[in-house]
Amino acid sequence: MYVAVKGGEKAIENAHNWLSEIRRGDVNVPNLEIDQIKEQLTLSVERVMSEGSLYDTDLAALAIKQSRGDLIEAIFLIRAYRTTLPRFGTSRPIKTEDMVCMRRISATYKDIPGKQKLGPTFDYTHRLLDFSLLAEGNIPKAEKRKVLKEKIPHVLRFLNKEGLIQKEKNNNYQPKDITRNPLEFPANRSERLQSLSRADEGFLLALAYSTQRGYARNHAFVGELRIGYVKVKYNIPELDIEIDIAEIIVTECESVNQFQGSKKTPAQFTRGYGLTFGQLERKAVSMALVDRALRWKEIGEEFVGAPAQDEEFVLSHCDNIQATGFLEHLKLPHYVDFQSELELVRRIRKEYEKNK
Amino acid sequence: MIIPLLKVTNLSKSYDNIVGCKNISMSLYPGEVLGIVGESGSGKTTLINCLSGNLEPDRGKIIFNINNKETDFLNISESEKRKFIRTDLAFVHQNPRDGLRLNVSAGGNIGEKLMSVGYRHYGNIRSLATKWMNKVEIDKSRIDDLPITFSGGMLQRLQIAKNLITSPNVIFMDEPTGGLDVSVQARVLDLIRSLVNELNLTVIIVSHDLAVIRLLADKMIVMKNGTVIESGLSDQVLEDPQQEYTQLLVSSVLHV
Amino acid sequence: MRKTNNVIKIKDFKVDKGLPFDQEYNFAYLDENTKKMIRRAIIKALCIPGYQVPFASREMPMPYGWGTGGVQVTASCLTKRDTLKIIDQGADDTTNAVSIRNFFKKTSNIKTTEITEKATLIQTRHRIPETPLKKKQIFVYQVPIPEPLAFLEPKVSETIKMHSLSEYGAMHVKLYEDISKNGHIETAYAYPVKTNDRYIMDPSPIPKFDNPKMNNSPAIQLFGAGREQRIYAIPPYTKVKSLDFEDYPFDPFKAEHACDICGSKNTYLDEIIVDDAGNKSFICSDTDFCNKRKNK
Repeated sequence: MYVAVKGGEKAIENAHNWLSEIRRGDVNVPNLEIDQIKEQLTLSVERVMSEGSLYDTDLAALAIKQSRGDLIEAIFLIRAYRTTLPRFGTSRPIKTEDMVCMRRISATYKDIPGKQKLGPTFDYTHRLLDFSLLAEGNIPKAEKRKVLKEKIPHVLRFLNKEGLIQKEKNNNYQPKDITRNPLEFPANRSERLQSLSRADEGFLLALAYSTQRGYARNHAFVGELRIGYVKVKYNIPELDIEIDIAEIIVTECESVNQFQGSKKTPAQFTRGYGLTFGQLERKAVSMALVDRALRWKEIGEEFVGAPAQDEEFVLSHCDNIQATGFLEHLKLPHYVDFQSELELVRRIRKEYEKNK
Repeated sequence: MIIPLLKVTNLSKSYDNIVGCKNISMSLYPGEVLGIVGESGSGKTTLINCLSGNLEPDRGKIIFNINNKETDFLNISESEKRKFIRTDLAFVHQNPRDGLRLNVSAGGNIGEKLMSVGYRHYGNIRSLATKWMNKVEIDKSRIDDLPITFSGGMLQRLQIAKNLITSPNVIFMDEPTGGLDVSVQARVLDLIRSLVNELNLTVIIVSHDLAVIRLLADKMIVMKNGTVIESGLSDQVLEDPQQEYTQLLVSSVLHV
Repeated sequence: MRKTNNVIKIKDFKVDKGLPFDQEYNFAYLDENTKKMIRRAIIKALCIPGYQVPFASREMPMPYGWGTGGVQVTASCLTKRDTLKIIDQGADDTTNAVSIRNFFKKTSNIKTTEITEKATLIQTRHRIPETPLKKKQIFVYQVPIPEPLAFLEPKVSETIKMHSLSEYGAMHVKLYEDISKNGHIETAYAYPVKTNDRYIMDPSPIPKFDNPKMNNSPAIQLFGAGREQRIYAIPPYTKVKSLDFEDYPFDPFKAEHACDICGSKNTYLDEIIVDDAGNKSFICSDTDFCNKRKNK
């Protein structure tokens, strides 16, 4: 006679213990330090902060260690932690025009005020595995120079001056936090940009790539890519003074896209915008392209049915925590539902045989 | 005094600087068939799309009066408009694929309107669908077939059945035989004519083909460059066209 | 990375050896403002049976798709006096039920039970208990896809209009097609229902066998979809009717067997494959009911 199986609780406990062991790995190998992750896997840390929507390098490094290097798992840890944090206020919008730039380039002009600063980029490296990294090595020191104090103006300002590029209107709109308000469609640009900023990098990359290949093709130029330090300012309400509460690294990309014009309005370049924590160039540029594709309606472009233009499609599927949760839930028991399908199929087949 | 079923006043719609239709006024009474004729670019498609709710006009008034209830079509909420379109109007598209669910069987397509107004008896829905398939001369054995297996003429007849089954108050037809072979056109036209007579339908039909208008319409308007250049009873306009353009159109129709 | 000195640390973070649960959390994990927000959504949902109320779902310690909606609803309704039962696939002992029960034990120190009649709040995944629910019990369903029209129309902006205008014709077309193809309606679970003669609702992936239990129930039924950010509800004694045709009435069938453990002929059964030859055994999916019946 069949005896119902029990022991789910013990099974879970054992699974967790094994996970703990395997996460640590061979105990003869030195333990991974949070500082090592922060210093030497910086781009992983920055991705986790960006998609986790929480700027804290220690926590992100811890999450990466705990998740055995699975970045989406790490992002999940950060998001769950973020839920528990009390919110005491909102900072001022960061001023990227005051950014102390480590890197700043423009593809639209050869030379610009502030110059092209290459910064620490992989762009011109040859992708050859460097086996010297296997051993401890002496790294050549980079040349030092003094940082220029003056502000580096945004490139698109110059196009703006001539009226050649669409103006971003200041409509004094108070943005609604998408982590505090359910997202509804149609969404506005603020909600779209918030979603894209924390969206999965791979998904945005693919969508951006699709626009380059003709799915809502829109010739994009990187008007400006700047990466560097910005101050986060907060106004203490009780004292009414503004203080700097943090200094963070962000990547900002402004794209210049194909111009639009009609008989009534003269031709102008259009634009897209990307912003992330840390040095995440691929993500920032992808975000700018997808932002631009989603603006088709306000620009008066045609909807050609491209995935990158479909707001509901993009925003409903860009959050990798939602996506992985739902995907991986397929591993949960579904035998009750499956049982009802089995019964139905059996019945239908029985009747088919009867009526043959 | 009979109130018109549909009264249009100074309706205008343009696309940027291109005029779609300009200052159109007309009335339609229950049981009438109105034909709108013109070449491509005349504005007839813009007009019918504005009247049926597919396009938003720039200016003008569209007033429906059905069963003593007046509906100011351009000044009602989106949800009221959607509901009105669903229950009172019908639209037969030039391309039947635009007016059918291609992944749903013939019976499902015809029955959908019945189900959307509350029919809940599978057997009844099916027998009504069968009745209408007979009416539009589609073999009833095809009731469970998908539209992908139908010819162009059959698809158009299926679309007509789907639209007429709930006896809508106004039916819009946009070049209903436009995409069909000449040999098939006659059959579809004949079907439309007999259904219109049998059910006393109120129809607005758009066509570039005067022969279609002559066969089906009681009265007609001729459009050119977005405006109405001539209107009147079909017989009169076709026998004795006043405007030069209308004369040109009439004379170019081959009399068989 | 450059070191910055002029930063005021608002929060002093210590890398603790303990798990996050060692820190202090509010009762049932969620902060009071979040609970207030969710309760408002629940009240609105109860006033409009079957209507999907949007809410700002929080990221929880378990993944989206694993019951975060149900957990948030439960957490918002839970009081210190409650007795909680958690089931998945009808059993208290399945992994997800165990995991969620432990979560609530840790974050609220709440009394838990496996006995349906003793529970004041029950959270479920994919089944309704065989033991009838009572007045003042709160029954929380975990919902993956709240939109019954989703397979017909994936766009939420469109389905919202369909619901507000009762444009449900397409839903019946689907049922019509099933019957014309197979002689049967092809939906076996998550079978759509009409609530209070108004909104069409997805009852969550419960087998259609369980649908009749929702009708005129004395309990409060709440539905939480965390990932899709929707809450809906059925207040007590509300009409819930499964969609059908007059001549093809709804048939809540199940496997034609009796339970091999307790002998019950009227309960939903799990099919178990017991050996390599493919021999089967059928046992009650509701473990609590089966135990009680066996011990009588």
